[in-house]
Amino acid sequence: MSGTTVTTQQTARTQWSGQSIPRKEDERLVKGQGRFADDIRRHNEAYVYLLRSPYGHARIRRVDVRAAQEAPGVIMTLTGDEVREIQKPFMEIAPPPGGYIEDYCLAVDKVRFMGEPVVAILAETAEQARDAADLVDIEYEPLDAVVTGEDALKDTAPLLHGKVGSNVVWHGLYDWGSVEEAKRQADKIVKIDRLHFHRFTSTPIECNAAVVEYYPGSGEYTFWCNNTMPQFAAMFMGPALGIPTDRLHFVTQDIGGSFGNKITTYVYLTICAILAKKSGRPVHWTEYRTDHILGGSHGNERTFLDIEVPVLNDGTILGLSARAIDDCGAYPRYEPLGSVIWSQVVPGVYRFRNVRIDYTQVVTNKCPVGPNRGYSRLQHMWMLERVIDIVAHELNLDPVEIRKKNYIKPDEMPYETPNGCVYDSGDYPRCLDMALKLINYDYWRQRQAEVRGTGKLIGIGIGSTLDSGTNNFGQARIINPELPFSGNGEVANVKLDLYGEVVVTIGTTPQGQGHETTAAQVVSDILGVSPDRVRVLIGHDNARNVYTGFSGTYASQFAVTGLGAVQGAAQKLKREIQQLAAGMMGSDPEEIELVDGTARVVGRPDTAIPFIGLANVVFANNATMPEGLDVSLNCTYTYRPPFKVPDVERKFGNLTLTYATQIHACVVEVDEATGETKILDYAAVDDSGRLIHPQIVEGQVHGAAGLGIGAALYETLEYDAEGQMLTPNFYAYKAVTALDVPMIKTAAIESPSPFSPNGAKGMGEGGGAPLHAICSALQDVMRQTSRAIVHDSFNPSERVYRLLRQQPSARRGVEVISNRS
Amino acid sequence: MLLPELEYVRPSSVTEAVGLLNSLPDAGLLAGGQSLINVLKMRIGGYRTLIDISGLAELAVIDHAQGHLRIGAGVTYDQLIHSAAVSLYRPILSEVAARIADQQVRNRGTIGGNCCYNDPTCHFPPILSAVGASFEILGTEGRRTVSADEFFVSYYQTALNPGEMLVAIEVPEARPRSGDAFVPLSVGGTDVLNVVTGAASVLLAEDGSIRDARIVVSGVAERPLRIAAVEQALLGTRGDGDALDAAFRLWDGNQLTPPDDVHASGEYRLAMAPVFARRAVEEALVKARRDFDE
Ligand SMILES: Cc1cc2nc3c(=O)[nH]c(=O)nc-3n(C[C@H](O)[C@H](O)[C@H](O)COP(=O)(O)OP(=O)(O)OC[C@H]3O[C@@H](n4cnc5c(N)ncnc54)[C@H](O)[C@@H]3O)c2cc1C
Repeated sequence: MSGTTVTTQQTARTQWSGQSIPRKEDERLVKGQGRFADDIRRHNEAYVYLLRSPYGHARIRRVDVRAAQEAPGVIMTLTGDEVREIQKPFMEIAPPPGGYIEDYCLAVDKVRFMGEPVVAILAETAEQARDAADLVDIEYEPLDAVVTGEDALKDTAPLLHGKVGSNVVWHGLYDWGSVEEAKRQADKIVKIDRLHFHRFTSTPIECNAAVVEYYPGSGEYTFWCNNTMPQFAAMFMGPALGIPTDRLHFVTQDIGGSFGNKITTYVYLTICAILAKKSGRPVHWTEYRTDHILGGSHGNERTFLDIEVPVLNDGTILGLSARAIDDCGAYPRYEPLGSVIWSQVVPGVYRFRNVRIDYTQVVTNKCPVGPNRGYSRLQHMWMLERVIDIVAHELNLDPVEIRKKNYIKPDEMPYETPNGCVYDSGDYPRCLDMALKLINYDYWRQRQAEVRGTGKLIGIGIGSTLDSGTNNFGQARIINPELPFSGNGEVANVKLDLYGEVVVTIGTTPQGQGHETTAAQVVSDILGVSPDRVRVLIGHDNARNVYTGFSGTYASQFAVTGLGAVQGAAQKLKREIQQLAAGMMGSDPEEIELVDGTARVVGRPDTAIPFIGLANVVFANNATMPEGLDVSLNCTYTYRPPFKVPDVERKFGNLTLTYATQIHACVVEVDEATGETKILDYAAVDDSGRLIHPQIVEGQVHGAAGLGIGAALYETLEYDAEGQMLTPNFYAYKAVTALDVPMIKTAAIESPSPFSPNGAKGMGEGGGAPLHAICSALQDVMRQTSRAIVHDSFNPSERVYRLLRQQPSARRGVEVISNRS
Repeated sequence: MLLPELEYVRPSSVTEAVGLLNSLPDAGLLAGGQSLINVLKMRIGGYRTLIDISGLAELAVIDHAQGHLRIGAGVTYDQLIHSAAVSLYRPILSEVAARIADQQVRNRGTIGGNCCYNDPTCHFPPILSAVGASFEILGTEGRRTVSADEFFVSYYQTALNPGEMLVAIEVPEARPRSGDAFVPLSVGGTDVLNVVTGAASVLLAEDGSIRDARIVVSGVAERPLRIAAVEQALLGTRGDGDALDAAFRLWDGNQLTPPDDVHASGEYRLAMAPVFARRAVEEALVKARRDFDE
């Protein structure tokens, strides 16, 4: 599935950064020697099984666990009634009334989604715990369910959380520029009734898992787990369990994918913590796939209503207004942060300056959502790309030209968006040209005309998107001004060990992003050693390793925050080495260069002192330390991006530091008789600033493209009106496989970020470009046939079949109004 | 997910297996386990005792004699794919087996298990109906053989009575100027969840006209559906566009109540049935005509 990388180098190469060296972690991983959460074994472990709700919404009348408690091997059970006594409700990010939601680790009084854990069973074996669950007797009183965001807002809707008084978690009006003024200036206003972004998830190969142990001696809990943002989990768990958060010791190692889905596992970790303390046993919990799909973490579903787009006749878009209803499932958890995170990319890649979004987030009787690759921005940017294509469709404009006309121009960079975000760098038209060339655009435009009438239709689509990275957590205050967060950061330690080994420690939680490799590359360049000689200790361990409150791996930021910290620490160490070596050789620190694991006076190889000699002086021979020197060879550096607290009133400020570009182009063939969509050609052009490891970046581009293609054509999390999940396993949830991902042609340009410490931009999420591009291509198909509007992000064969057959008399959900004023 | 506590027995002959099936309480046969284990894991029914027939050599044999292939019920997809006899005498069966799932599933899943499970998305029921297979059944009363039309009864139901097992499937060898085809509508990527499948087998006369046609569509009714009216209408024609148009005009789905679920609506399935059936016929005709080119 390899493609061509046409990297056009714009920045100076160093010896190691910028090279696709073999990944340090691969040998271990391909040999099956990785250590994952479920691989952990502790003496005297017991196993957790979670009995989950079969209902979408029901009152729990009675729970009888007596028979289960007597079943073979059962150590104890835990119910919601007990949890209510032990646990305080988890903190809510939303201010009241949304903040009145009470979220416990097990259902208390009511179940609010199918798959919600109701009873936990701890037994000597996993099998015994599972068998005992069949003996639990629960009396439910089924309640009416609400399963769509729009229904949740109706007066008649069943309420999930009575204390809130409605199903609204958060509501806010975002209004920048003047949409009214833009509408007056416009030649036409394009109105779109409704666009729907569907619910899907990223399906990490490794499900959630943890081994949790409680030490009564110190009151400390240890979580060997695969949570990818442990200090966020700690912030919820400490107060909920009534203990200082420093008693929560997280240890992560290899993680088999997360895509954000493993951020909100604190609910499950809390169940394990309670069981571990009560039983005095290390407890082992591993999710099965059905558990994961039912109760893991879904992506946000969002409906856009009453979209109005003022445009000039030449296709210049002046602005946009819409209502957004975001469905976060039964409990907000990480939400409503998504209700502001989308505003990192308010105009997407476009220049219009007048935007008004009336944003409401609601609860429904579905699995809670959590960050999911492209989190909250992909929904918004999908809507923007739909708007561009629909405007082009309705005004008979060329989809390429309308994009180029409206793209922010490269010479406008850095570009401040209407809400104060500063796009650091980029060249969107160039990326688009490259993508079109890769798919052989002119050829397919010609083929498209030739195949008409043969039963096949060809569509060409474009997805222009941004991967905004390195959050300014100050944006959380736009949701809730009381939240004491802002900025971002990561910390790293780089040291020489006793025998001169170079050791790097970071608090991140990589899940395939190759942090060991890229961190080693950065250190190698600074310390003059080969990456083979740099040991990188990955994984979060807050009892042993450095970390900040932001530590973790999420939101496209490692290249900036993680490597920024590594770079800072390595530079500090380099200065110490220079001072020490200069002292030992009686020269000036500025004259010391680091080459091949030695420090030497510039141009004098005969003076070289190997790192082991320097380490010896500091760690085992310090009476020989040069006079007046105080070096540790153990250097920690915290990288802090240059952020300010946003203006909460105006909802204005720079919300992310870097904005990587992804421009995709695709060619699809649709079978007119059946609606089946086949991808004939696919290109992804990416601009992630300076590339530290081009192959890792390309791998992320491929992965994000594969997930996006799956989401566009096969993957959907569906519920019926009672809240029964219809796709709870791999039979029904049709996760994309390698067979369904076409050859992806890739190319990259490098527009270095002027704001990041190394010119790199965070990347990896991909911004959902395939969803945009495939919908765009399908719109191009409809242009030749029924003129239907592609209104949903999910387009399986049947939906395409129906769109193709939409009658000319049917409501198309779109209207163009000419402005006479 | 974990299996419930079960009894497990491993007979050493087919006769012993049938004996156990009739003497142990609530017992069922375990072949490749690629469907049964999943059902058991969901704990929505199933057996208390599993009789594992996957090791029975008698069931894993492919014979060719007197113009017929006899395929043991325990033959795996992987065996079908690599069998010289199947590739020579009825290659469509290897081709269909190769489309199923992944190598791990193909290493274990069996043609017998596939037919006995008889899920509407299963690959073998429609194609075996199209090629006119017959099914050899063994019970305490002895052996009997039924046609494919009789064997597939309804969703997850076959002609097997309690206590009976499927021992072999007999398929006539392909004749000169014949062609078989299997054309599914998959809703989950490559051959994942085939909601409608068209399968066809055609035989041409020496003058190139259609002498025999068996056309089957699955996914729209409780069993693979032979479309007799269309078959009849094609006989004697050359199977060109006009003939197919005329024949498929006789397709009438009005009486059918197809499944209607999250994967595909009933309406869509109904609309797709003649499309895929026709594509199967067209592909089968292309193959049958190859014998004229040689
Ligand atoms: C990931 C995955 C993907 C799959 N995709 C597909 C697909 O695309 N298409 C498809 O057709 N199938 C698919 N399958 C199912 C697979 O083909 C199964 O192998 C098949 O349905 C059952 O065959 P088995 O040998 O595994 O039977 P088992 O699962 O062992 O048994 C199935 C049923 O048949 C009964 N049975 C088995 N043998 C006999 C016999 N000789 N006599 C009487 N009863 C018997 C069993 O008692 C049981 O009730 C998939 C399976 C998996 C795990």
